Amino acid sequence: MRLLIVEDESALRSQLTERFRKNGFAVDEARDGEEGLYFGKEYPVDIAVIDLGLPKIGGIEVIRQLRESGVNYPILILTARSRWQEKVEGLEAGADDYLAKPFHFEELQARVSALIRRSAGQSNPVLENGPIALDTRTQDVTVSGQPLDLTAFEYRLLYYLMLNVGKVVSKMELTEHLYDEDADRDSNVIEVFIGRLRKKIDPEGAVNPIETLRGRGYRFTAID
Amino acid sequence: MTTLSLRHRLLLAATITVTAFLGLAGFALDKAFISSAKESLRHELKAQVIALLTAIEVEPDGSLLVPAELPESRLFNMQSGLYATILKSDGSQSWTSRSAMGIDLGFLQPLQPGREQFEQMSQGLQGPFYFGFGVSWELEGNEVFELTLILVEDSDRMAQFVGSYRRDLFLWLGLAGVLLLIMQLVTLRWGLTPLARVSREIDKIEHGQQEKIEGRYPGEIAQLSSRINIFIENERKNLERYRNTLGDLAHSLKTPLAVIKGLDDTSKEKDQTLLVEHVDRMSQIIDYQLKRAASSQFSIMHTAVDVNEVLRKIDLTLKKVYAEKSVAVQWELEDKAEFFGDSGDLFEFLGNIFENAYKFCNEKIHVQTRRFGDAQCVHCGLEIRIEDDGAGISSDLKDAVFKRGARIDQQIPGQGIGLAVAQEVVSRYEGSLTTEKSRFGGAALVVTIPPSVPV
Repeated sequence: MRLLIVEDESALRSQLTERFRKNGFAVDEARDGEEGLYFGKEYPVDIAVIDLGLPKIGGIEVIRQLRESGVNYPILILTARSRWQEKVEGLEAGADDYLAKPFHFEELQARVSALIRRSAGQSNPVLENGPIALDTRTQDVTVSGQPLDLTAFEYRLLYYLMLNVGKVVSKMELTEHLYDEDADRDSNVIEVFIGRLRKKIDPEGAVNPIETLRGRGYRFTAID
Repeated sequence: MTTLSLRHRLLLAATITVTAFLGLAGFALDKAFISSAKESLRHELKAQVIALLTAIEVEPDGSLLVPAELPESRLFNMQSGLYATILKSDGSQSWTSRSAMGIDLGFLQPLQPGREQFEQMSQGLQGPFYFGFGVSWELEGNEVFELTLILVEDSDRMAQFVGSYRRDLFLWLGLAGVLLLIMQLVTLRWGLTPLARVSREIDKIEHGQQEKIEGRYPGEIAQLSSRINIFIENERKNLERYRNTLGDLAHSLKTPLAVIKGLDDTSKEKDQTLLVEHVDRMSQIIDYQLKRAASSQFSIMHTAVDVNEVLRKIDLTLKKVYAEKSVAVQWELEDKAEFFGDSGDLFEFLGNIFENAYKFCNEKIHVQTRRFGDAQCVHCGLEIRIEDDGAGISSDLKDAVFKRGARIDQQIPGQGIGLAVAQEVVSRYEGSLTTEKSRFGGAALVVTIPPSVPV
C-alpha cells in the first residue's frame, strides 16, 4: 500500500513515515501543500494523510484540488485545532475521515487501514480468501488457522493482493504501489517475492491461488 | 486621506444648498422683474404714442400739424431721453420732437398701418427702446396718408430702475442666506451634541474613569451606545474567560506534571505506563481547555445561521466517518430554525452532540428542530433534540458532564469531553443542554436556546 503523508512538521512527519514503513506501507512524504498536491496527483497513491495547516497551499485546498483532478483514493485529515466547522469543511472538500492531534499512532493506523478496506469494498478488518486470513490490525496471516511467518515485503504483497482478489494486477502496478519514490525498484524482485509467497501460502501447490498471466501480470483468485 | 468631519460635511452641504437656492431664486426674480419692467415700459410708450396721435392733425397737403404743447413735457427738453418722431411711408421724417435734436434716429423704419412694434436696439439694458405704431390717415376726399408714430426711450431710466431693484433684491436675499446659514449652524450644533457627548463618554471609558456609556441619548444613538455597552461588557467577559481558562489550564496541568516528575525510573514498565497515562491526560486537558477558549468570542450582532443546514452538513461528515456503522437518521425539522450566534459555535456544539449520538446509537438517530416564542418573535427560541437508540448516557457521565461548573479535567472519563464542551458553548448563549430518556431507548440530548430580544 502506498501512503502519502503531507505534513509540515518534520519531527511528526518522519515519525509517521518510519512507523508506517515498519507496518508495511510504501510512504511518500510531502513538506507543504504544493509538494503534497504534486505527489498526490502524480504518484499512484492508495491513501493520503493530510495535515490541514500547511504552508504554501492549505490542506483543505489541497484536498479540493486533488478531488477536482479526479483523484479518488481515501484521504484522512490531521488537524491540531479540531474545530467542528473545520472538520465539516475538510470532509466537504473531499476528505473521508479526520483525526485531531495529538493522537496515538495506533489510532491513525486503524483509521488508515479502515479507509483502505472501505475503498476496496471490504468492511472486515480481517481480510479473508478461502483458508487465508490477513488481520490488518495485528498483521497476522494465517492459512487454515495456522500462523504464517512472512517478511515485511511479503506481507505488503499479500495485503495488496488480498485487497484485489480476482483482479489482474500487473507487475508495474505492484512496483508502483509497494515501493515509494525513494526505493530501488526492480520488477524482477517482484517475481522472486511472488514465488516465495506462493510457497508459503500453498506449500503443496494444491490450490495455486496466485496465477501468472503471461505478459499481463498476476491474479489472486478467489478460493471457495 | 482624512475624511471630512460630520459637522463639516453638513455645513458644506448646507452652504452649497443655500447658495444654490438663493442664487437660483435671485436669478428668477431678476428675470421676472426685467420682463415685467419692459412690459410696463411698452404700455407707457404706447400710451404716449396714442396721446401723440390724438394731438396731431394732417393738412390736406399732407403736412403735419403738431401742437406746440404736448402732454409729455420731456419731448420738449433737449436730450431728455424720450424722443418722438413721425415717419412718412417712404421713411422720411415728417416731424421730430425737440428733445431729439442732434440725435440720430435714422435707423427707424416705417411700419404698415395697424402694426405696432416694441423693440430694444441692442441686447442687455444698453440700447434704447422704441415703440412704433403704423396708422393710415384718411382726409376728406378720401385721400390717405400712411404715417408711423415712433417713441424712443433711452435705456438709462430702465437701467436705473432695474439697478435699484437689484440692490434691494440682493440685500434681502443675502440677509436671508446669512440667516439660513446661522439657523443651519445652530441646528447642527444641537443635532450633533449627543454625538459629542458619546465621544466624551468613550474617552472617559478609555481612561478608566467610567465603566460604560451612561447618558440618555436619542434613539439613533441609543442603539449605538447600547451596542457599545454590550461590546464592552463582552470584552470584559472574554478577558475573564481567557484568564480563567489559562488559570484552569495551568492548574490542571500541574497534577499530571507532578506525577511525571515523581517517576523515578522511566525504563520500568510500571513507570512507563504511568507516563503514557499522564501524557494522555495532559493532552486531553489541553484539548478541552483549548476548545473552551477557542470557541468564538462574543459578538454584538449575529446573522441568522440556518440550523437545519448545519445539521445536514454535520450528518454528511459523520456518515463518512462512521461509514462502517449503518445509521439511519430521521429528520423532523422545522422551517426557518435559526441560530443567532457564531456559526462556528453552532457547529461545535451540534457536532459534539451529533457525534455522540453516532457513537452510541445502535442504528437509529432522530433529529428534531423546533422554534418557540411568541408569534412575531424575531430572534425566536430554538430547541434541538437529538435522540438515539443506544444504551443511554450513564449516570456517572451525566453527573460529570452536566453538573454545572464541574471542573471537567478532574474527572474526564474520556467520552465526556465533547458533551462538556457543547454544554459550555450552549450556556454561553444563555441556553441549556439537558439529557432525557429517549423514546427510542437511548439518550435524548436537548439543546434549548431561549428567544432573545435583538439589541
